[in-house]
Amino acid sequence: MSGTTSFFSSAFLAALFSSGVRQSIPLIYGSVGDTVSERAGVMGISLEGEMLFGAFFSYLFALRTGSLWTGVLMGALSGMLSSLIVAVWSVLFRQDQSIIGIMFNILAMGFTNFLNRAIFGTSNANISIETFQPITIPGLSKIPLIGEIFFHQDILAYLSVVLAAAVFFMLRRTKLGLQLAAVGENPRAAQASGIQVYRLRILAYMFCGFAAGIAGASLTLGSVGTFTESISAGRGFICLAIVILSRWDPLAAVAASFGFGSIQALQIRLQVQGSALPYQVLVALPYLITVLVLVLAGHNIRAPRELGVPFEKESR
Amino acid sequence: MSVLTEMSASFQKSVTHYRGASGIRKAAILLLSVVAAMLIGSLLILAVGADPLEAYYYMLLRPLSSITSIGEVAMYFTPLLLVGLGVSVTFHAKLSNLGGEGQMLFGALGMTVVGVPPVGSFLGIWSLPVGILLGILMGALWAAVAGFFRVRFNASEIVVTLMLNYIAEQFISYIVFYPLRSGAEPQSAKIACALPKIYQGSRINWGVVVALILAAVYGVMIRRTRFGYHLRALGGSERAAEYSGVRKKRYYFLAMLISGAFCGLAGAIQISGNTMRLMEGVAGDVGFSGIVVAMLGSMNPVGVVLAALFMALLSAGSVTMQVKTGIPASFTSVLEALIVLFILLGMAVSAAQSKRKKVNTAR
Repeated sequence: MSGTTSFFSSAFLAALFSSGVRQSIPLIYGSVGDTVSERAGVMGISLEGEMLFGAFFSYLFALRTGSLWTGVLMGALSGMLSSLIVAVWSVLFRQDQSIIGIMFNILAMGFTNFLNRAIFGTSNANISIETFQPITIPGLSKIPLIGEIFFHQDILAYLSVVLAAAVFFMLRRTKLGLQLAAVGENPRAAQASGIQVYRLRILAYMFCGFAAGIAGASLTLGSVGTFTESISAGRGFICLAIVILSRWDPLAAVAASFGFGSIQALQIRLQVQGSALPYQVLVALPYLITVLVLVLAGHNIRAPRELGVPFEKESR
Repeated sequence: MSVLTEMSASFQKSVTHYRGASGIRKAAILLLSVVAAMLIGSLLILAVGADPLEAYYYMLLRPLSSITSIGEVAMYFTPLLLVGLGVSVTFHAKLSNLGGEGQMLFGALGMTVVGVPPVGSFLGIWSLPVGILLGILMGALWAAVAGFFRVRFNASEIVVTLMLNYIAEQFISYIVFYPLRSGAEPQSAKIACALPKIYQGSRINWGVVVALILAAVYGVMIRRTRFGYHLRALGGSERAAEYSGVRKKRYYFLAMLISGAFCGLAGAIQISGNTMRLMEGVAGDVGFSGIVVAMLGSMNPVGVVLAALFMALLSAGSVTMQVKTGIPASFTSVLEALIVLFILLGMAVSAAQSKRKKVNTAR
């Protein structure tokens, strides 16, 4: 229990931030997905539920097929298909996104718990599966500290940054990005210029569900190796705060996710090392910081103008 | 304008529409939604190889079969009703208090600190009223944190209340692990004074009556007082309400405070009428089911009472159902969520229909 002496040693920092990167993976996928759908005007309150779907189905399929990639794919698809419920209800039926989101989360939690019990029984010890192994990037991993932290991670970590960069490029440099922004800022004008608002909003939200599904898969197949009830533990909501903090910029979201991931890693490390603080304070830390972010970063920001507001087509 | 806060406007539109729909149409939407959700639920039940009729019997009818089991229903009914009322208060004002779970936990803590020794042994039977008042106060204060952040910093009350749930959960865990721990298990000692029972031989207690009276108080507050009128004005049209002199920030804050008070009371009653001691998970997800109750009852006092009763049947029945049929009790969450989703669907269809009718008559 002598943690304090080695606290700032490079070995400690490398281990801490390397685990911070692992913790940030689901947050990156979730916040990048939510950035896209929020740009188009649809809020990802249901991110939490889609992550649960992704986590459960990725675990189930990886276990049954023996292939981690099948698991990831099915997790992503289940996130995407389930997000269709939210998309249809909020875009086509124009119902309130927060209520649908909450109901969807209750549905997702109930449904995944239901299936988990029905398939694996009541025993708490689900069968563990072999998770994704870290890949060492030749050359870069030799950089002291940095190499150990960033270039000795599993494939889902590398892909998350690729995804964020691709979305960044898409939003800034492509017609699709402009159209998404138009749909989120001024759907009426977008419609007048020939953009199909409903279709784009639904597609954007499905992308969000797809990313949330991978986020869930990264929980079960990337770190834990099994599914436990409510495994997402509020990460979906933390993603919403990350999107605000990063001002709807996917690359900034990667950085913010890394920040939150590191806090999570730190609290886990402190728990293991034995800290003077009761462990509950440590567990509550990420949530406390999320509230703090909302309070401090909520000022003077410009969200997509029509965020959360249903759009009604002009009737002719 | 902060972020998530904006979306509430659309919600209020759909809720206002729901309130505006005729009684018969509303009842039809509700009934159809329940039936549709139960049909989909049947598929799930069949998928796990159980009999849907048997499952629904255990869920909806069996809990009413004896005075003992009715007492169990009451154990769920009281907190569900109180949280449902609390959430409804915020819905009226275009806010969403999703922190009922955390506020209940603080209410439970308020009851416990004055109920267990040393304070409990000093206060004797007075620990009950004092504990209930303290529970109400603590629930209200926990909600007020979110209300303050919303009013002062424009931080979305949706995410803040949800985060406060997690924080409250950890705080209560700390409390029962360390300062209030009594014995080997992480739980408090037994409180000195329980809520009196209505009928011996069943667990039903006077908490039910308190909750029902508060449903009436809620109805009067929303419909007959200036406060309720202004609250609803804010929900109808923010701008119009502000022009007519409603101070938005004050009302938002008060709505959160009152909402938290209801949830805090639910927590205090959960301790003094049910578990008798504080432990982890003492709120038992009622804080979330209460949101469903508010939606299901469309914020109408009688509606919320009926919705709470329905949900209490499901909750009490699901335990028996799990034991007898092997269907996991989490099935009820699926059912609840499906019902509300179908209600929302029904509202959308009904809105489209009445709009079409208007267009036709205009021609």
